[in-house]
Amino acid sequence: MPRPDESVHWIDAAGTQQGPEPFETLCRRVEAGQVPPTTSVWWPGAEAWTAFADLPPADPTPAPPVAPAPPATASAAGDPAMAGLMGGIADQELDDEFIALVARSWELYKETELATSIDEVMLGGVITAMVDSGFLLIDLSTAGVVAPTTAETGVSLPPAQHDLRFEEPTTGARVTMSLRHLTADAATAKLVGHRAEAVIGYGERVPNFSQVGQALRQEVASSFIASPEPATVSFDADMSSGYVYAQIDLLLELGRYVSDELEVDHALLRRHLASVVYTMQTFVRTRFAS
Amino acid sequence: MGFFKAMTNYAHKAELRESKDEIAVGGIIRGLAHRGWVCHRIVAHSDRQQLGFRLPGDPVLSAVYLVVDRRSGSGAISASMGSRTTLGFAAEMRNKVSDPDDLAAMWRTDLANLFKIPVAGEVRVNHQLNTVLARTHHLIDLDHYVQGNQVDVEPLVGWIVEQVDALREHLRPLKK
Repeated sequence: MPRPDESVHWIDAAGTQQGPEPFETLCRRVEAGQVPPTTSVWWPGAEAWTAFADLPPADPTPAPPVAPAPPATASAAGDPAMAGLMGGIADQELDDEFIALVARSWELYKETELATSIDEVMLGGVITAMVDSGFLLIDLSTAGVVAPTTAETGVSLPPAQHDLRFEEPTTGARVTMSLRHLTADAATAKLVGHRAEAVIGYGERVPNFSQVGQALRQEVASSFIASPEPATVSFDADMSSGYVYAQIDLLLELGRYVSDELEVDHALLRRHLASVVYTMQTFVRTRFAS
Repeated sequence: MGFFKAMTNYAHKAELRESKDEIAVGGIIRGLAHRGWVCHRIVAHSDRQQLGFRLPGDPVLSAVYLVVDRRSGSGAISASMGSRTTLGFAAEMRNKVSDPDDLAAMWRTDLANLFKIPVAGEVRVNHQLNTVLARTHHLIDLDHYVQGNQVDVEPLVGWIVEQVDALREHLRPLKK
């Protein structure tokens, strides 16, 4: 039985072969009486000429095409539902997709890890730069409020603030740094970048202790000023050791010093530290030169 | 920020003797940084510092954690007894995907660890899911490396690297 659109040949009343033309056209000719139902029909693949009347009636509404059965993967063999789930996807493709999902999960996890540790990588860079320069780390403490655990990742965020103090072993000059991480969650860091508040100070022993008292009195007065603005230079004093410090509040972009791969730009870090320490040293010496 | 409160965050230790552990920690961070390790975790309290390092490119270890715990404190005891300090090591290995068999391994190693008495130098492997930790600890005297202004932490840094190399070999067979 040819398909409706399949080309057929047929014999007319004069015994002449006609066609090729679609089988459905021949059907309309027979219905119209142009061609007798006894006419012989042949189509490629037919074994012999067949009388039109002997052909089974054509189905006027052919069934919709059926999707080809998916090739069963080895994993789903014998399990129709699993075959339906994994149909059309080779085992190697399934493996590759799984590996890609795991790899992406680790990338996302590392984003969170970076957001929670970039300030400490920065601190490690500061310590390396200062010790490389000949300073000794004499004070290292973790302070501030412990940030809450992020519900999404379960990663415990580190404490918010670190305080460092270095001493130059021959002169006793000191450098201090307090660093407070402002963007310890990945979403905020992605939006505004990794930021931190830093207070960097330089201190020396002053020979005349009354000058320390003078500085203290001034600081008591200025302690009532609450200013969120950066670049505020203030003096501070340590009564027990007789040191006077000049210190400055800065906002730092941690991403300038630490890459996503945790590589530290030691040269830039040392350059920036040097510039601040130099300026604070100038403030101390100018103020207490006498 | 700032204004007369920054100084209150410091311990203001009167003598360098009191800062011996911090001086050593500074030298350790610097020495390991020059070996390519990245210090990514610093939690420091009085006489106890916890440090974490990433080891970029290491075929086995994802991180190493050190705990410097100055048992003799920084006061008068230290002046008479020296600076006895416990140095704790934890080498961390991460597998990207945990093996279901890891669950069984977790219980086995946890059970085995129960019967181990924590002796200095002994290595304990703690098998978790994606993470396997090898831990050990040693007792050292910081006076060997820090004497006032005389600081030579480099031998200590080299020794730390050797201990981590040993821990790496404990973990290598478990790397997937």
